[in-house]
Amino acid sequence: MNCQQIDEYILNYVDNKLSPELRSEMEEHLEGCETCQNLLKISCMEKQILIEARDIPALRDNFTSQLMQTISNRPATRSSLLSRFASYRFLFAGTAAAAAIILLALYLPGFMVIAPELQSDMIAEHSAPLESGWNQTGQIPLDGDKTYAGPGPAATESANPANNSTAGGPYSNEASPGDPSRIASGVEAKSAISKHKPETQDDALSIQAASDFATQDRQDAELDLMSLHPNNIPEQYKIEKIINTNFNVITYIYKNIATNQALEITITMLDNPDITQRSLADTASLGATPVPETRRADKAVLNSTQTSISHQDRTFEIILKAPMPLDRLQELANSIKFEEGLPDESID
Amino acid sequence: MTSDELLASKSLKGDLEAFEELVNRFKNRVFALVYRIVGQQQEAEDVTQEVFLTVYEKLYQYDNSKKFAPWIFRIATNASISALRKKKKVVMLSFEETYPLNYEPNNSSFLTDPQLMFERQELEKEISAAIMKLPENYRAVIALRYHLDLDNQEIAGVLDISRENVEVRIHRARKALRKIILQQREERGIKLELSANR
Repeated sequence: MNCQQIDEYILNYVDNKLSPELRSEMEEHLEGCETCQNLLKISCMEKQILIEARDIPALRDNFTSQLMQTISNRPATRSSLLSRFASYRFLFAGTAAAAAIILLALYLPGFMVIAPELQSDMIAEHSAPLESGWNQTGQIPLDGDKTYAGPGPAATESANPANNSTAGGPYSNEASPGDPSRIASGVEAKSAISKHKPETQDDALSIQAASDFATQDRQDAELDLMSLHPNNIPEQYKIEKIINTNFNVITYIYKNIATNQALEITITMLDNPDITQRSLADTASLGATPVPETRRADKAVLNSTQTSISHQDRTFEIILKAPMPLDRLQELANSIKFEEGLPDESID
Repeated sequence: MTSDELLASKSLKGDLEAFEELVNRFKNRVFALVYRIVGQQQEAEDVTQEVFLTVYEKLYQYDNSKKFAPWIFRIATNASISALRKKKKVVMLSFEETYPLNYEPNNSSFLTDPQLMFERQELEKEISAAIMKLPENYRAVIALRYHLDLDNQEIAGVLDISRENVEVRIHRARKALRKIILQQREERGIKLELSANR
């Protein structure tokens, strides 16, 4: 080995990354070459200095307290996350005759449908903030639909494949009559979900939402979809993505850290009665998705809660599905805030 | 001890104490990384603060199935480089501030020899000065590798390059560093033989 080769290898030598053969060749050369010994010495010191980094001054003592002060003057994390949307108000574009549906669905492969009594309980628990100007009726839409025909896991296990196929699968993109723009938005959101790996977060948080909104005729009725997001998602569910492709659709994808299972919350607002029915059918088809054998084997506790609230022409449909104990899921359902963003005058 | 990842998760849910703990765990490492790239104390402190604010704002983007450290170092690296680019035209480094001349003695074994200690002090100054002459991506990789002691896989994650590229970049950075040091010595009329005749 010559001096030039030593120069080439010396850093790896110092970092202890040379093969034993190269190492002994190198040491052989080093023994007889003072220049290379100096080079080695400098390289060793260099590395030591780099590691110790004593030229790096200390951070000021009050750094943390100042930072935390700055942060505590800001909204909380979740709020701060949501604040990205704060400027986008989600408006009802509907007329008096239009029905609006907010479909809040946490769905996962496979679920059980809970007993209607439980749903009624849930609705009752939501009654307090809604009393003024709101009628609530516990509805189980599509009563005849096999997906929701009965409570308990049996209904899930016998998920109706025919229904599924006619509906075109859980994220059916098939065309339907009605307001094309509404359909488009629904389809867009659903296809984004079905990919499960939407584009980057920033793409997902596209300014498109804002521009959609800007072009939308402002109506009296105003609702902040964000306010319907449950606020006590269990700790093991970590938010992963927010897909906000349109002003009336927002999807949150959570992931269970422990099980790696996705949990999705989609809040969709539709204001056309035809679409409303369509949406319910799609929702049903979601439930009818056959659970792959592999997933079934997980034997996770899969539950579902469903409720709907009607007022005048509008129906708010809420469905929660998640692999967690029923009481936990109900707690989650109960944490959905209905009272915000729905001033009385906005309803007419 | 609570993992960084769990603290991040709690922070996302609005637990400020968890976030404070994260800050305390990472502030010195983030500052060292930022300082190494930015090269100026005040600027580095500002960028470090910005990094934590960004982390707080973007926690929801953090994938909890992955390690937290590479994620925050990535934010720190990007923030430092972009701060540097923004200010490139106006930053004048204060030599005293940037490269403190008085070093605390330490217990490194080879510093017991006065001659070696002198050489080492010289070398420290040289290295500090030389690092600031490196391209910023070399500075970043050196800080990540030597100051933060990340392995190649982690550095790859931070810089979004392949592991092999990390190795290559570290090697090139070290070589470039040595070249600059030798150049500096040459300019000052000091030969490599400085330590040869001790």
